[in-house]
Amino acid sequence: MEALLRVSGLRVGFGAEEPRSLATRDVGFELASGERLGIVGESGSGKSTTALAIVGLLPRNATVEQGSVIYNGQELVGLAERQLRAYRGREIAMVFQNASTALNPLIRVGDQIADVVASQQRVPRRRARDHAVELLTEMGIVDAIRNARSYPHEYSGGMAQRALIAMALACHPRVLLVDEPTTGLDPIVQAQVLDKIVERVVEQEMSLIVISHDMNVILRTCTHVIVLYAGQVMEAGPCQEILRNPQHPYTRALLDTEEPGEGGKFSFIPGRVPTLTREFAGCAFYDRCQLRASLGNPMICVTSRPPETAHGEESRVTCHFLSATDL
Amino acid sequence: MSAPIEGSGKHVRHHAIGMSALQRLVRVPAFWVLIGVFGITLAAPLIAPYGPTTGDPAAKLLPPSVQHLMGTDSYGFDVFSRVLYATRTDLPVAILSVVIAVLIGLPAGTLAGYAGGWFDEIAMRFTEIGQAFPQILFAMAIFAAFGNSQATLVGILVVLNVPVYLRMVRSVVMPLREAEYIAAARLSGNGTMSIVMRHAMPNALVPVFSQFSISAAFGIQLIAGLSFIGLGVRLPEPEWGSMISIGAGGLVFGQWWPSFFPGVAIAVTSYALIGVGNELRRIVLRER
Repeated sequence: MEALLRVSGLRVGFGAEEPRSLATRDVGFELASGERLGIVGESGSGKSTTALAIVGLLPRNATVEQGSVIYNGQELVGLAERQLRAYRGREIAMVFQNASTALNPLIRVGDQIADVVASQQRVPRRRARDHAVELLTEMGIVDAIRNARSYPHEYSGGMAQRALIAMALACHPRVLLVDEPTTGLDPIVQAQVLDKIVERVVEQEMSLIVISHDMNVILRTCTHVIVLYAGQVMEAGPCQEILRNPQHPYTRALLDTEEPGEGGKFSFIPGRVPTLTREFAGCAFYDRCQLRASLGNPMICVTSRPPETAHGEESRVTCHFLSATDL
Repeated sequence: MSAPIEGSGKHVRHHAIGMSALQRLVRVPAFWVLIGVFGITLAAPLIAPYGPTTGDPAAKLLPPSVQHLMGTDSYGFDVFSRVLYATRTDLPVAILSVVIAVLIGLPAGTLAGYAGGWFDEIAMRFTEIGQAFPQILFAMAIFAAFGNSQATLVGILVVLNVPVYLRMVRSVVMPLREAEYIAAARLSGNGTMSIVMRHAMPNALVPVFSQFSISAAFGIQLIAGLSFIGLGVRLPEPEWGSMISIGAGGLVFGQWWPSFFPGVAIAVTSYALIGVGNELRRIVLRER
């Protein structure tokens, strides 16, 4: 299948001084039309940077050093702001992490959504306002007429999150990017918001990218997943396959942290994410890897970067000891 | 289908500068004084018993009386009438110059704060140079160069006020560069211009609004100060500062009235403008 969005070899550096901080080192994936892809990883693994690089909204001090983002045959990296505007919103829309700060506190929520509708669809103001109310209703906000006239501070976290999604959907994008959609929401609202996103995405036949540190969020919303660590893809494939048969020691460790183990204790991954300035000759996960310890610290893990190996039906994994993990 | 979420329930009346602000303003005496001053500006010809420039040579330096409530000056002008008419000189010059300063400072400050870069550098250096000069000396130099007229006076006040607004707006807009809702607006495919107009500039309007009347008060004091030394408004045009200067020579002879009453007028008008400005600032700080 021809990919709608293809990210390859993405390397994003921050700051001016050497050594540069690398938020992503080598991120690559393909998103097919209608696919729902989750990007999972710890804080600092480069998830959000990847998303911002796709829409060309990296902070001023960040640059894409290598790699490309190809949307529908068009290279987006290096496009001027003016040209990128044709893709933002209309083709690729994004929902930010903190719903409450992503809404302008001075403007009524309905008007903010109507702004987007008016600029994207070139309809009169009145129509745009009515449409904003419809969008809010579709996102499950009751009494949308009244709530459209409210200011963001009158919204709860869940409502703000829904409003933001409504705003993103107002553009009828082909790809919806959602960054940590459940930050600050309680578990019940979380589930409602996630289900709503999937419902709308399927309904409008969009593609979806969900960014989260929480594997459960990904599993609830997505068909495919890529696991990021230190700005590199550790493992990628269909959710079911990876859930059933995780290959990479990092993926396994991540999945283990989701469920309490023996004695009801939650496990955790010892150590921490490597600093962004660090250079790796070998595997980025070496320091915290349980597998290499059990294998007697093989030299190859330190000296050479693990290759990407296909496994299962359509999964790939970046580890020297793919076969060994089956032991 | 997920269950709908109830509204937050707290539909507080929210008007940043709305009814509640007006209700608070009417409780401030300065507000009513200012209304009075504006009333005088409009009704000066109706209230004033004499024309502002119709001197009576036979009635020089008369002390306050029923015919001349504030006496007459050394030209035989009725001080009361001139104090009233002077509002038509001082207020328009002060307000016009602040309006122009805002019209320049608001977009320039927004651009400097939002875009940064070379424009910001140049704008900031110019404001620093401008603010480094002593105001009166600067004004005298400009009058010397461009001639003594009210247009020059307005120009000077504009040049002195633009840096104030430019800096104020820049400091409000600059942190917004990193605001997520600005990024969200860019993400919706909005152009830079519409983002700046819709999302960045409105944030700066509130502090600009509350600074406005304070700037006007300082404007009036500067106009009076310059006219006192003979710059800006020229005789026989009624103006408080020049009126003080006409009467100043007679003070040692006990002829206090030609200077005293215009001085009171400056003090009262400044008090009203600054009082209203401060109250507006308080309203803004508490409500936001």
